[in-house]
Amino acid sequence: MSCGLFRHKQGTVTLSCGALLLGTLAGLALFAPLIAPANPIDVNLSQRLIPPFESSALLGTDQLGRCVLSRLLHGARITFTAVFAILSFTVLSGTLLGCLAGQGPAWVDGLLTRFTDGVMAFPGLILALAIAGILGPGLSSVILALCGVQWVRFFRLARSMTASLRERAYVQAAIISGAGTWAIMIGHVLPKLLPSVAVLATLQMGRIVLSVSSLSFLGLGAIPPAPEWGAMLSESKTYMQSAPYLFFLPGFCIFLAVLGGQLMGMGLQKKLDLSRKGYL
Amino acid sequence: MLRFATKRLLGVFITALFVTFLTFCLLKAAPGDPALILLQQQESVADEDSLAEARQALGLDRPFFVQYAVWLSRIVRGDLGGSYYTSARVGDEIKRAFPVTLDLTLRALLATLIVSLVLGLASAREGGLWDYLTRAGAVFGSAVPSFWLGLLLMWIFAVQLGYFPAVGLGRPWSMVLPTLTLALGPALYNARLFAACIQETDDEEYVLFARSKGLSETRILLLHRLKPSLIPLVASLSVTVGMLLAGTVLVENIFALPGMGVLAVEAVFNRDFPVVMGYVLAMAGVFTLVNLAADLLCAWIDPRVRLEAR
Repeated sequence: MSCGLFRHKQGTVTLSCGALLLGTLAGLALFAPLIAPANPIDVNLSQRLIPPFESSALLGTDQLGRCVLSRLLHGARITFTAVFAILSFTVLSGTLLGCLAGQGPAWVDGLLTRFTDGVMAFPGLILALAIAGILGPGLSSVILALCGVQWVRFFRLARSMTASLRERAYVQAAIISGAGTWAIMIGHVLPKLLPSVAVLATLQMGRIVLSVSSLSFLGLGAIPPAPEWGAMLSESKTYMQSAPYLFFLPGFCIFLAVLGGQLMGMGLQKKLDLSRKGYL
Repeated sequence: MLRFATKRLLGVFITALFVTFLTFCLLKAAPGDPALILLQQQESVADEDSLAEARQALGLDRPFFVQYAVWLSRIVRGDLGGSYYTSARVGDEIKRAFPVTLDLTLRALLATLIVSLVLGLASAREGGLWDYLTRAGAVFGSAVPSFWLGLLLMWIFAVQLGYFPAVGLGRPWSMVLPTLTLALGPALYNARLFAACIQETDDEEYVLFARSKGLSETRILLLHRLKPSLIPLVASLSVTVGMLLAGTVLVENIFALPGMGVLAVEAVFNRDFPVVMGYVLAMAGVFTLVNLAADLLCAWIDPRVRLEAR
């Protein structure tokens, strides 16, 4: 197509925008203890609900006089830790199990596929909500619940790709020349899967940020003094009339983080020329 | 068609087995001893003997798979068990809350379909202003957290301008803000999908033929390009409904609508797991049925789907 080159360039721009956005947030998260002007959980009741830009606390203070900027910076740490934990677990387990199902014995494939169909039959966050509820409120139960639900996406991608790769001549040749299942998986199938897995992983980053903060917003995630963005948003509901900045700022941070992941994923997809349709 | 439907129904049956089994495992893993809770609800003394007796009465001493089978047969008859917290029947609680959630979902679905049709038709020309707006809107819609959007809308339209009631049900216009909040993301997503499909028909031969006949672009768009582009929209119906159903938890909790989402979150905090599992099961059931309906609809409209599945 004539616009192929243009599309490639557009992908680069989108990818850089997303990477810049996420990189900035990740950098802020990494150095939060150094940049944050105050302790995020230090209560100061004489300095309650000061609007932004009016005192030494740049983005104002919340209902307990805590510095909002410091809380947002430390909130980024919580979010990125959760994303890192969930993403590394789901990418690894999903991809490996998917490869196994795609080329292993039929009963393994059937069982795993039926199981993932079962997991996918629950819309969105609802299964994660139940699992996190059983584990009890806390950031770690949200992480566990999302790990338990989100690996399915990588599984489906890896399974369908492995199954179609099996028909390719070079994999057939490897099978005929006597290569073992593991050798084929690591040497021939996994390298071919990597680009798609990378795209799905970047797209998942934003979705995970959204899921973690949604569950925290409902009260299942980080426990109150912890400055998690979704939990901050939920606490600020009561002060909507007097202090609208309190709900605006954490939500905007979540929006930026999700947007960063989404743009990166879209850009990468265009650059690697993977079709938008399919399993992503 | 019949063959496709049978195959699909069989698939639904197997999925339903896995879904119920998963739910049952979660219910078993949940904290709280049903026998102890039963005794507490009857306000009788919980000693060794009465506990063992209650366990036997509830069938908790039987093997795991027998318990599952008994539980499943009750579920099939519509009995979801009793609540730990209020001792009401879970089925009744869900029946009370379900209409609110259904109402919200249907309104949002209607809004989604209208917005995506209008926006999609408006951005039929690739590279036009509306095309860019729809593209940008899809990215925005996928990134904006619905709970933030809900609070923003509430702040602007209820607190500042006072046009709509902020929370609760029953007043006129009280469903406007929840519907908007719930529908925005899926609507923008579907608008982009639909626009892309219409744009793809641009170099089809039947469009070229219509143009060479001298028909106006509007006529071609509405009479020739619209219909084939609707198929992917129908196919994405199940995804859309999934997004909407999952979104109701957040929206109901923001706007304090007494639906299933509020019921479930309250139940989680009361450690009332039969209610939570009833909710999860009901949602999965509705979602599975919608998926089935969307698939059958697709196969009915587009014979290629039927043939591919063979």
